[in-house]
Amino acid sequence: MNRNMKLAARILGTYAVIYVAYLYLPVLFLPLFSFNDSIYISFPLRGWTLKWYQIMLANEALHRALMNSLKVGITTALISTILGILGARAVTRYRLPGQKPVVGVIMLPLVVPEIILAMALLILILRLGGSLGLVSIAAGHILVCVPFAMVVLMSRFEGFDRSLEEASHDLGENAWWTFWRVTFPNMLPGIVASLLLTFTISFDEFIMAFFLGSTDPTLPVFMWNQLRFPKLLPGVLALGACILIASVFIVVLAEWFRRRNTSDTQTGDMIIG
Amino acid sequence: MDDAFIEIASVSKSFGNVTAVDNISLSIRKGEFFSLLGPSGCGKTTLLRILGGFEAPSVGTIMIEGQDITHMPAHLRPTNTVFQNYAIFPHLNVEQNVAYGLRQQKLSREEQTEKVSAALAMVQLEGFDKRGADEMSGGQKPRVALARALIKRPKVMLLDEPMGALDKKLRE
Repeated sequence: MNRNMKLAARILGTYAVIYVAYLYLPVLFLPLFSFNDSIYISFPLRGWTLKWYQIMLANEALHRALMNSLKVGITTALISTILGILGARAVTRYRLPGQKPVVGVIMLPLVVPEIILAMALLILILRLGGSLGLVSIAAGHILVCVPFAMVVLMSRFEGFDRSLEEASHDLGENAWWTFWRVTFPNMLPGIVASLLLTFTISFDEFIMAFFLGSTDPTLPVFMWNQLRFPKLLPGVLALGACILIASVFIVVLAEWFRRRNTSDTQTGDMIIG
Repeated sequence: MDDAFIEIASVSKSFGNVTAVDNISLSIRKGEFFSLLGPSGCGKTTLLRILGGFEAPSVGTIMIEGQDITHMPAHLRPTNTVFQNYAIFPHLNVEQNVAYGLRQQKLSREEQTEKVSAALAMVQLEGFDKRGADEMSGGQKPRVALARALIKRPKVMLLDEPMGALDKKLRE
């Protein structure tokens, strides 16, 4: 029995190590090869260089793609978070007829394959005579991001004690002042977390951006275009390394905000897809 | 009663099929200390919430000093409540909690500090002003809630199960 358990522990341990290695090693190769003085990705490394970063910084098309992604990302974050606030507040505060099916429908984009949504939106937009570009990409991203905003904000609203707002009314403040003095400060960590999360999702989203975009690409689509030319690959690696660091930073920040002051409102950990 | 300060006239409140308050009429004089006693779920809290303006009665009227306040919103009523769970604002410290209701009085900083100190002294919490909401003990919370309500000098104080967390010495 004891030996079996030891064996099981060893197998499980090995499995865990392989799993983590498979998950993170490829990602770590990205920054590693971005410093390699060769256009070929192979060991041994030929020498250290920063030239790929210089090339990346000098690339005008890349700047444009980055700006596009920032515009779409910020718009998506703001709109989906505002919609998320309204939706989460309605769902957690009031009992609405048909509430469960409605929430289900809102959450549906989490499970519907994105390529289906992208194709459907593409057909719809073209049918309606709309044009493709950053606006249509942002529209697609908002559709995907609202459920995420809802999940983050609903957990925050559920932990929010209704009697705090009543206490504020009791002490002489009307609905407007109550919102700004009590509701908003208590919601702020959730709102910031939602903004950061939805921005990150939009920033690295590819399928929607590819289907619903014009010739003016967002950053992920731009990177995909570059990948087809071997010479440009190291530059993409350098860019990828930068995005990796920025994304990790933003997601950690979002989680930190979400968990702050929520020790009394235990909610399940969120899964970032 | 001619000298009634609070006049509750045949007030009922039902939630769906449940009648929480069933045709209550009573008058309370000025300066009177009036207690509602009864088993759990008999409607004490609901009646207090109707007085405080958090629920509208299904039937009946409420008068304070001869003025009909049945449909007056909570933030305009001359009442202040100490809630059952105390509803301490978690993002504010003791001083900010107590001073919350003073915003509209537009006091100078000194006047406000003075009032807050006086209110805290009344509940024997001198020197606790900077303590955070999550650093208060179970016995301090109701006192902060009490000071926060008293500082408004309400005509009517509503206390919902106010003594639950206080030790005997403080109750007196």
